[in-house]
Amino acid sequence: MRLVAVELRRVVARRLITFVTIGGLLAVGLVLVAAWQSARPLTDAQIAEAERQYAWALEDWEENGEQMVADCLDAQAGESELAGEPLDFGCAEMEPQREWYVPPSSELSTALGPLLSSTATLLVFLVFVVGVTATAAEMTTGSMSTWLTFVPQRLRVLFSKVAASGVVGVPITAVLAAVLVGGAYGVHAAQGALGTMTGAVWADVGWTGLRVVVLGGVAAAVGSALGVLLKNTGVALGLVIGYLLVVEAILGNLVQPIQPFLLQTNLRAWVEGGTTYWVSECTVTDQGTQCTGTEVALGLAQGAAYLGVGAVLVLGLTALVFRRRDLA
Amino acid sequence: MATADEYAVVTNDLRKTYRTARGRQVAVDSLSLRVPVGGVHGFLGPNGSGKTTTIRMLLGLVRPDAGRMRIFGHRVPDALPEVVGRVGAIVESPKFLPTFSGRRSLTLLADAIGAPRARVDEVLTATALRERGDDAFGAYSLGMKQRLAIAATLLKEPDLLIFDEPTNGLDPAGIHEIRTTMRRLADEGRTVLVSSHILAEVEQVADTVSIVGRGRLLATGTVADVIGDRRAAVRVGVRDAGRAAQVLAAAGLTVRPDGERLLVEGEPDAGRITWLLGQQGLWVHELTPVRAGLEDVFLELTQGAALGAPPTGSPPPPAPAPPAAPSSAADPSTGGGAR
Repeated sequence: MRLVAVELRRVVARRLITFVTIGGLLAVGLVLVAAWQSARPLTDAQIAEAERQYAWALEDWEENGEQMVADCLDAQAGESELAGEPLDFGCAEMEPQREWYVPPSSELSTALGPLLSSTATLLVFLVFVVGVTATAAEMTTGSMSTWLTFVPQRLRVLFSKVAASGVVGVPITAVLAAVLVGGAYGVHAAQGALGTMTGAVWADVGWTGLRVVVLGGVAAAVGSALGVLLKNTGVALGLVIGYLLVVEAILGNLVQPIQPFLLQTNLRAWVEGGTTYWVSECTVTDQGTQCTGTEVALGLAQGAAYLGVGAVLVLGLTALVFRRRDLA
Repeated sequence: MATADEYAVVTNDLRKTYRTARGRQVAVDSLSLRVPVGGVHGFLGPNGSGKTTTIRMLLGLVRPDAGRMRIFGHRVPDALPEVVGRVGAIVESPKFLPTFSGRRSLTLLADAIGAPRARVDEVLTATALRERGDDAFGAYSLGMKQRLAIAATLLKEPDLLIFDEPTNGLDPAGIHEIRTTMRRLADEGRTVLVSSHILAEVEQVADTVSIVGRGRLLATGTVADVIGDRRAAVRVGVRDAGRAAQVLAAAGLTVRPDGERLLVEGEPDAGRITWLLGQQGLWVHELTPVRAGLEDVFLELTQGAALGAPPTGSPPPPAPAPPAAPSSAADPSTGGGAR
């Protein structure tokens, strides 16, 4: 425990903590500005303009609607023939709707959960950076070697550093999440757009927030392990960003069966208390290839297991490598 | 025969190789080192001779491929946690986080080993850093960084201090300061193991030395022993040097030219030289005893090592017998050691 306490003081004393917290607060601020824009009711002039646009669209629809639908169906048939599969251009839903022109304002009761979930990835990435740099800086400067000449027990040193980063990750995530929730409440309250904030809504937000905070701690701990493993902040972040781009973004779209094994799917499952993803199933018939999308559920437990196993694997690999590595 | 508890550091047949683009590179090769308890022990060798690798192995930072090591009788690296409180070390350049102040770095280290906070001020004062203790490490001069590293080693009040090339990059005043500090620490009864490739510095402060080349021990012992009779000579100034050389050689002395003078090797009797030359009407105008320095010995030995010559110089002291078990009382190298 003494080592963990010392490591905590070391991590907290690092300037980067301040920079990351300030950066996080700025990012949360931008999210709140966007929330303010969404919650702000339209002015009378805007509503009048929107109604005018809607009226013109209706008028145009009554005059040319049939022709528009016919043109749409023609285009749909032509493209379907070229594609060799039936395509849906949405020709049956072309009639202008009022909400397309006069959108309803956002209400806190429906917006808060998605707002917290969508911002969670950013918050978790920030504390991950804190974890990575806390240890990578020690590896780069060689201060890890100095440390080991005082405490020559590598696993004890490693786990104290990982634990300290994890512990530091929790309050940083908690503060940022609290500012986000509090700010969102203030923004919507100022606009009179709280909606119906029932106890169930608050409980749901509370559980989501708690899961985000736990995730922040784990991300910081995993980050610090990666910092030791890869010995360099740039390399560690480059590797993570490269993985996110190549595997999660590109490969995830190209190879649908890997979706339940993607980090982003499981992160969503954990943060949102379960999620869904779509899988296309295509069959070849006499009329061509027909594809149907199936929505598959991924539960909270699966997300937790995936993230937990992943964290343990990173920590285990780091411990194995660090225990035997020659240090400069 | 020397017993193990006379040694602060003992290594037996230590070996370390590194994988490089050109294949396996031997850094340390069958190195059996003995560092006596107390005094300053110079660990000398040219760059790349395996000094730093040996020190890193002793401190558990690098894993040896073969061989055994003991510090104050404790087998390392396995028993390092038991003995580390008695060992302070600086490996190569001082390494601390550049944004942390000297005081903060020392305080964290002191807390990690359970040393009292007051000790931080004591070691900062002892190394003349108290005034600059709150400045960031990155803003320190090389000499201050080195002093901070020494301050860190003193947090433990160690019996053994290991300094790896401590004067690298320092100005003459800094070098003198470090040399004085090492001597003072040794005079307090501690053992100082200092590695260096700058012989003149070590010769002034070391009591004993070990010279390595290409990872192998070439000579070890007291400075006087290592220099020994090697190349002790008398420089003779005489008008007719050619004839004088013939006279002295005929008398059985080893003579070689040294510019316009002669060098009579083998610690000859100066009176005899004068008498021999005077007999032939050759009048001596200079007669200077010349004693080889550690640097001469070092160059001779390390050049020999580079050419693959067998080790020369004083043989290493007999190795303590290997123990039957790490804590065996019969193990002569498990004795306590220092103060």
